[in-house]
Amino acid sequence: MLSRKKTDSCTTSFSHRKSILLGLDSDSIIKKFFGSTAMVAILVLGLITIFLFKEGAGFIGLYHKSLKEYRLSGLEYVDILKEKREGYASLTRYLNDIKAEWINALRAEGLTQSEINKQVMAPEAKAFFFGYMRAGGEIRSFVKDKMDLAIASRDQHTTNENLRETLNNYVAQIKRLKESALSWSEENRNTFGLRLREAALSGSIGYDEGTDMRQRAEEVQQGAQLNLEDKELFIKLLEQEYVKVERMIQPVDFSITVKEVVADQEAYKNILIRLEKKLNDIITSSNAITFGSQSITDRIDRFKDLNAIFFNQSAIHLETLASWNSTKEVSVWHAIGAFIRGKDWITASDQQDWYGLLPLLSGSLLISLIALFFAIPFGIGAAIYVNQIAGSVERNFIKPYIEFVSAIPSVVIGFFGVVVFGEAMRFLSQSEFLHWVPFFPLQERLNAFTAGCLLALMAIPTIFTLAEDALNNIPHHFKEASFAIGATPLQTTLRVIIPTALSGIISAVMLGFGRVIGETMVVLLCAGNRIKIPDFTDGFGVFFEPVHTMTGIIAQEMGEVVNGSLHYRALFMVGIVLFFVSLLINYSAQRVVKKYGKLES
Amino acid sequence: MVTKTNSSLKECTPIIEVSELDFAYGSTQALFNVSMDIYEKQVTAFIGPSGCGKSTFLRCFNRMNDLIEVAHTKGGNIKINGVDINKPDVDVIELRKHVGMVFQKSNPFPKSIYDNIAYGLRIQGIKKKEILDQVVEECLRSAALWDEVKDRLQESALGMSGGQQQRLCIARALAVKPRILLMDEPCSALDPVATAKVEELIHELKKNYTIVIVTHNMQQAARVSDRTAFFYLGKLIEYDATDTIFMNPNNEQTEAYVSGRFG
Amino acid sequence: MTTKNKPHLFSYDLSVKRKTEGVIKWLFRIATYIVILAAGYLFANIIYNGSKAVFNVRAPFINIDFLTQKPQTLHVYEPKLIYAELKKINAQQVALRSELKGLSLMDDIGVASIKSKLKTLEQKYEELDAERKEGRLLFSDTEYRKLDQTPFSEEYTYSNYAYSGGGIGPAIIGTCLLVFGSIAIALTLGILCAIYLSEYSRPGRVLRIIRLSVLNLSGVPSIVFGLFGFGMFVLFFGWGVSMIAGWFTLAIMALPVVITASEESMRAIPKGFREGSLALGASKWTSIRTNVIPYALPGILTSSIMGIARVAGETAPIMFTAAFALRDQLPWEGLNEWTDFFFQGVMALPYHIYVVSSKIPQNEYTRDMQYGAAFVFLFIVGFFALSSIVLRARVRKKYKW
Repeated sequence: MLSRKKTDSCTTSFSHRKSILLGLDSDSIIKKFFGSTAMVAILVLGLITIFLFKEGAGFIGLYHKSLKEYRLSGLEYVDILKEKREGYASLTRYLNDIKAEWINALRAEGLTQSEINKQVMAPEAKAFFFGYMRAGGEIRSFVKDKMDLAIASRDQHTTNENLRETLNNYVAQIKRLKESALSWSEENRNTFGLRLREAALSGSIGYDEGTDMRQRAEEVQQGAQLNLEDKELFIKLLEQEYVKVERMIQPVDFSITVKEVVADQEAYKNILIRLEKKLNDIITSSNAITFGSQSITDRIDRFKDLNAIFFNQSAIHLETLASWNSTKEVSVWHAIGAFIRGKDWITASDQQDWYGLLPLLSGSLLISLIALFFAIPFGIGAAIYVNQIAGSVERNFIKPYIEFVSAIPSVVIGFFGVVVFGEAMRFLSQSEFLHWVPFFPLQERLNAFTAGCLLALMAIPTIFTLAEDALNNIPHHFKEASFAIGATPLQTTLRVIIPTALSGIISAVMLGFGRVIGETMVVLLCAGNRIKIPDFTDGFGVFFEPVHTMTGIIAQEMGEVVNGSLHYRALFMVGIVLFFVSLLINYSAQRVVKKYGKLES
Repeated sequence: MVTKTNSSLKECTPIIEVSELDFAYGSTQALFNVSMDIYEKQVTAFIGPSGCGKSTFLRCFNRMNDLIEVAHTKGGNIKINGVDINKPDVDVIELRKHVGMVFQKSNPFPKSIYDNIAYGLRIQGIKKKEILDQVVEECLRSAALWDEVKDRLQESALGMSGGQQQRLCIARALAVKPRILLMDEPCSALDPVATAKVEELIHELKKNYTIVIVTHNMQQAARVSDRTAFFYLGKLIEYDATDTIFMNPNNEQTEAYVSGRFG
Repeated sequence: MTTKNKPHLFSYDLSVKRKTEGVIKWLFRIATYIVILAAGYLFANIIYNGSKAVFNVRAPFINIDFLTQKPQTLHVYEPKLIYAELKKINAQQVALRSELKGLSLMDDIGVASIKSKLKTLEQKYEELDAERKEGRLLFSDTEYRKLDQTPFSEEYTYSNYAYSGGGIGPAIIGTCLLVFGSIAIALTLGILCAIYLSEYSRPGRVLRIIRLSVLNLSGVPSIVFGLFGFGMFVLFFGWGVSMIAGWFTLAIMALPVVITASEESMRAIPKGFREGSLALGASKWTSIRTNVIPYALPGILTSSIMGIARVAGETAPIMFTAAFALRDQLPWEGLNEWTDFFFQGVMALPYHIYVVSSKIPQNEYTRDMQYGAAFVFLFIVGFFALSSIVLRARVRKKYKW
């Protein structure tokens, strides 16, 4: 220390330290240096935001464009048509379901297969079941024709755009070549060689003989010196290519094609009327069939009601079709709304891709709900036990143990879920003594419940550690005071310690929630990955449906998309949502502690 | 150990009888062979230099030392109302209901003033509003706090001044109707005015409660107590009527301490 | 409070309320032990099944091939006859079981006879199964290519399973490289940041924002870090799917833990150390360098390991930034320039586990690879975590001020 003191430049007069750079002495430079590194956290947060938005923001524009084309090409109109077709199709499914139930009922009565066939395949029954299914041929083919029309025009439009982009690239390339001196990039050299060979093969160019060019191509490939002649040849080749591509563009005028799609509304109306008549006849004829059991007759009645509703809606349906207008403006807000409120996530379809957040968000929330349902009681319960009830031996074992559990890699937990837990769940659900549970046996071994349970195992250490910290921070004198009045340990814990630590415990739960909703590998492996909004009408069965999540979809689809495409940007949009949801959770957890966690010093 | 009873003290029945108590934290012995009687409805003060074991001794009376894992009684016994409180059939919770305690640092719960006092009753399952109201008022009056806080009973206790907080803690201890009140340096963190108020309060409470007080402040011991015990290095050196201890101590160490020559 | 029916004043209160208290305590205890058992079962299951793949009964007791070889496709030839026989037995068993269900409980003799039949079938099955295991032929890719002639298709049924043969050598090496690189970056950045926070900063707005950022950064989902790394390092910087992109992505993830841990250990150094040095005329930086960092370093390192263990266990951030599902070359093979080392993708254990548990079926042939990889990975991460926990306890005891 003393020697260092001497080397410092001060003499006995208290002069300032020598400045070395821009009037700063060494210490303040060091301070500035550390100050700047401390900004790294802010910087990273900023960069995350910037890059997520950089990649994701283009989504709205692209999606807007896609939705505009959806309307202009008439695909939207076709989708309205399809609704009716779908209605009919689901009625058919309902009817088939009744048939299956009928067969089962007959079998339960002890009839043999041939006897059953006799009943089910009786002429009137056959006319009913098959007639109903066949009646829709006309509407099916009508809708299909219209759909093909709309898709064809939309696809041609997309192709044209791609081709135009290619043309622009050619123009730019030719321009660059013309301007620059003889500097061939590696890429140019390769393209040139390729083009030369192609041209030589096809003999499309009237310049010199093909053999000559083939030879030149080989030379170029081997790295021969390139000269002015080559450059001109290259430009010429490119221009030829340009013309060829230009010819491939077949302009699409949506205003014309859409007219074709929208045409025949009168004919469609007639089709519907015919369908109604046919179906009604068939349904009336069904009265001749005797189903035997009351429940089936009830379902048939219900089926009739549903049919009536189906036909009643026809008028509105036709009206919607008539009032549909391809030139109606699609606003940007519509695109944003279609993302946030969208109920479908359909990618790589031949008709229209939909990027709706709801199925993913609801899946994430459902799984989090299950995970927290288990993690909160176990996490907090264990924290209370360890902090308030357990002796020091137990405490010294459990605390590090649970901390160790928090280090189990999520992918290992996911693997365990796939191999052991999912199997065990299925096995359990198939066992006889659990048959009374309404949704057992399970359809899928990988479902929201499987993922939720495993996520709970991940969230418990988080909740435990933070809640235990919060309990530990309660000053000892609260406990003493309560004991001195004659409170039991449990009363003290429940009435003094927990209320005082409540803000810390709540924030622990929130951070646990943050961890659960942001977890990727477990949900990717164990949630079943079915992209559909869970059917909440199913009671508790909803917890056993396979779902997909926000984190899972990014991990699953990111590797397979084209960079910069609409799909790619949609995944980044999901990332943005995830990022801000987690920031919000984290921030509010801190607020809770700050606002309600004030203890006197 | 009680050598003589000063004639100025009225004759009383002993409520706490300690005989030959040895107490240790792990391997460190904190109390050596302490025996004494503490009398009903009197104020008994424990004095002595820091670390002499007086607080440990006090905390033996309601077994607060149970909270410290390594602490244990090595020998001797403490009888309160004739019951040995270290026997396994003693419910420590019942004991603490009878032996209240006020701590060195005021420690109100982070609840309202009302809830702080009602706490002791609620944990006994008393939920009736009328009873609670009545007891809260009673206790606050006994702690001479009622007039100061009656308009803000629902406010947080943490917003009170230090002296008020300490009196609230006394009121809280009174709510469960103990017979004995232990005070562990209740005024050490208070200013002189607040101290005077607490001392006044102790004087009042003496009518109904047996009070044992640990204090660093010899004047305070002289002012409030009827009897005084002097501890040194874990041993009870002298125990007698306060006047005797301060005016005419038997032991040289006691004399040196009370006259301020050490400690 | 009445003493009438009690032996003495302080005897036990035997009311129901007090008894329920004991029950509730037990509930808390049970909740705690359920968690412990659940996690314990997970450990036990993976360790038990994984050790079958990793350890040998014969010397040297460790399956070195598994730990060092590259993953390969497993080619399986099952003896056809035995296989068919087994299937037949299986069908018989199923039929018998359903028959058993159909029987009423009263029919003791029927039940007993079916049960005994089932038992003999089971025995037969086991014998045949052992025979099948003897008779089957397993080849890894390299062995398969060397074969002059594939086994006769009349005698054997052929099937193959990707990734199931060979070992996990490149994945282990890749994981280690990823972890050490990201540790180095995270520790450098994190300690510098913590020095500012604990030594130079003044309470104020900037400090508040920094703290808020650190806290919030720790809550960002790992997949978002992955997206960010993909957008910034892989695409914007043009590094491609590479080790260095993975390093930075993982380092940024570990940053909050390292910063918090370092700051805590530095704050734990008593003020006196700094003041003593300053009073002797040392500059501030000198006193930090000589009297704070050396004493804080053990604490910093041990607490940081925990963060690193977590990061090493993450899959999502490296999925699009650094990891390949399969790569034939080890990181030091086939390099043109030494810089290429940093710009190559690697195999990583967590990603490998994801691939083998989601992309190939689960059966007896793939099981070893799946469990073995999970076991080795759990072992590596667990080693980091455990050493952090143990060292931290020791450091706390040693450096008490």
